[in-house]
Amino acid sequence: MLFNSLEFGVFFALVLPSYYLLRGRRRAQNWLLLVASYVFYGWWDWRFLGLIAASTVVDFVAARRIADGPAGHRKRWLVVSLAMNLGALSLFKYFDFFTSSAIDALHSLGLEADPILLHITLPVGISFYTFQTLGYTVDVYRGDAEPCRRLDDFALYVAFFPQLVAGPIERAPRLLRQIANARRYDPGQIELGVWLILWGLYKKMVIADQLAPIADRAFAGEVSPGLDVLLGALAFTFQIYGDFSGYTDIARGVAKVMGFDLTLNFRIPYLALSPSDFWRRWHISLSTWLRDYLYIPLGGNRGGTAKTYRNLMITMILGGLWHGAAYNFVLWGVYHGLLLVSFRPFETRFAAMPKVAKWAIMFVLTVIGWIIFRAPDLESLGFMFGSMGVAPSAASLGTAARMAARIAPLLLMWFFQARAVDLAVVQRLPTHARVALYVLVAVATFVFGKRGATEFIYFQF
Amino acid sequence: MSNPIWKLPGETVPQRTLRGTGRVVGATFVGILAVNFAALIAMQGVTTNLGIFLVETKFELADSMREPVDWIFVGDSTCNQGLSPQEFEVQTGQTAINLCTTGNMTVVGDVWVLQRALDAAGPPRRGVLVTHVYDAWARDEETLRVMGQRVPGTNEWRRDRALMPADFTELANANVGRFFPLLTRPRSVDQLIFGLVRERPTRALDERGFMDGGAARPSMVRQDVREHLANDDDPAISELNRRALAAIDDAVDVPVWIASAPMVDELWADEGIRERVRTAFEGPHELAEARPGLRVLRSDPWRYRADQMSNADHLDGPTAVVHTRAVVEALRAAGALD
Repeated sequence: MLFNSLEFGVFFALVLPSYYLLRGRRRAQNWLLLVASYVFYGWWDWRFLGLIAASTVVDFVAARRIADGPAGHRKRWLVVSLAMNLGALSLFKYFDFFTSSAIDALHSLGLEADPILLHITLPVGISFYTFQTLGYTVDVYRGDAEPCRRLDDFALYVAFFPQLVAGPIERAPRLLRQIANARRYDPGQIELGVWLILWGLYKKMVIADQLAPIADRAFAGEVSPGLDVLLGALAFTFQIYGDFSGYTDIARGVAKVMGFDLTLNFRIPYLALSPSDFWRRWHISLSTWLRDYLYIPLGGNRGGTAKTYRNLMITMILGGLWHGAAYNFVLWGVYHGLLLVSFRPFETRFAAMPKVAKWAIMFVLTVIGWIIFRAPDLESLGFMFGSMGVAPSAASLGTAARMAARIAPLLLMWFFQARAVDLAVVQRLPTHARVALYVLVAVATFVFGKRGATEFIYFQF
Repeated sequence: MSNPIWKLPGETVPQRTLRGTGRVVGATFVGILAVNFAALIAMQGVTTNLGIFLVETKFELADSMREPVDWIFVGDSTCNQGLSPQEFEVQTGQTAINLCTTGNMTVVGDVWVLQRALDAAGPPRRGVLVTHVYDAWARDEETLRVMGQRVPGTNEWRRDRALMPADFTELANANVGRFFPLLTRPRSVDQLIFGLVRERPTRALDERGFMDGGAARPSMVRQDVREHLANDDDPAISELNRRALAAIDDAVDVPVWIASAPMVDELWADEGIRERVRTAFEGPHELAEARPGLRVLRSDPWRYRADQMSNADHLDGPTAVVHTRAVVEALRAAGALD
């Protein structure tokens, strides 16, 4: 059930009034949300409900044992939780990739081996909820979070439908506390939620989905060398932002109208001035997760330059691999690791450069990264880098105009958000202007948005 | 003072009252509805896209028939620009009219246009040929929203001699299409906004209802092939289309022949597509076994090269003549022209 589908519209139109009818009865509301979340998830494939339920029960029990059990058992239960979560992730997401990679490696050595490939369907959102529950048990182990005392609350924390399949990856102290405590219905948050839903749908349906064909043609090598290839790369740069940040906006908006506050996941990432700044702005819930549960436990920047670089590379490569079991994601992780490593010695000198120059360099580097991320194979990667230029074709002007029409409202929004240093700058407008803007964005989405719900890119991760 | 633009932005939520937020949300809904109905009023009496133009023109053509013909062609746009009644007559000596519209009209659209032709000129003397591309058979009630865009379309359900009455859901879906252009006619609203609404699109039909598909467009064919390959919707015939096929069979005493659409070679080369075509035609085959009046002429598509087509299943102008001859051959082989 996609956020941009009629099914979700009907689903939410049923859930929201029911939820408000139960106002003041938090436990009943939580049960309603839990059932709704399982329906939402089961809509894709009901068979994977068992997996999410198993993950919930194991982590619930493990966290309780970690917190309450004898000291010697704490690590054992942490290992149980890690084994369960990483085992499921490995089996469903990485088994075939690593097996076929090993077979290829043996073949290159002249050794024959029969591949054992499982061809298992990847459960939607497994990377997101696995990291969320993993973070919870680690937090309890470290003493950073209290173990949840109620299975139903914890089950809702794992399966909360707005953020279940594509994040933001929520930390227990933030979301679990909201689930376990009385709801706060802040009218300001509710209105912001409505706006986020409208703006998120616009970003998905008008920007991402309409730019997708331009990017698809370029990455399939079906455009003329020169400017069309560059436009294809830029189209994907804005497509993936519109797609993923659009999803996050809708998720946060849906949560807000129900009285929940989810983590900010994007802070205008294409205004980043350096690689580290980019990761403070892009997919923040993942980058901070990787920082807290991987980079810092590996030693962070505490063991000298070489170890810091090693830790950065490991973190980014695994971050790349998190996106999918494919070499382009690994390569993308390596690329971003190298960016972080290579910028580090020059931070002082780089800081002295004009900000516009830093922004331009970082934007170009970001686009290069997205080409690596999106290219399905080396042939496509070679075509993109080898054919990119500024020489226009007969189609270039039309393509550029179509792209500009889609992207311009987004750039305008970024300008006002950045100038005000406030992502909710729209909320500062007078009432009549806000209503006019909401109507305009909704009508624009109806009229210019791509019809037929298309899947969000990050669902596959 | 440094430019704030480069700072990491946060999210500041102003204080609001519940009543104020309620008013804003309510006003937004009212505003969206107001735009919707303004668009509806502005679009009265004008045709905004080729599909609606086709439907209206074919309905008018059916209404204007004065004497019966030997053959009536109904179906989707692959047939609209794929079957030339003039060439058919040259090849067979039998008269025909092309009342094919678009795939989104589903087989129900075929029933509607057929009932108009029957009312105007009486039944065909030899047969009815129903042609739909493999992925059109599955279209169902949701498509009725598209069909309802055409205001008279909804009224077809209520005609005195409706060959196929509608239930409540079907009528409701058709009316959503009729009254909510923001949902169902976004391209038309888009054209309206930019002043591109025309009384009639420029593409012309001949007097027997055949539309020349123009020149081949291999790049469009490639793009369309990709879209077909990416589509994994269930192609099995919908219940609505089953009912509609049965309604066509009930409406005429002559055989009703069901045929597949043309298809570009490279699409047919895909095993998945061949399987989808087989699945799509399982329903029509079952119906044909149960009803003597219904016959499947051919379920595998007629194949053509990319330089003969305007997309993966629509022929260019010159190839439509070739295709018409191929269909005539198939009908002759089946004994339908005797």
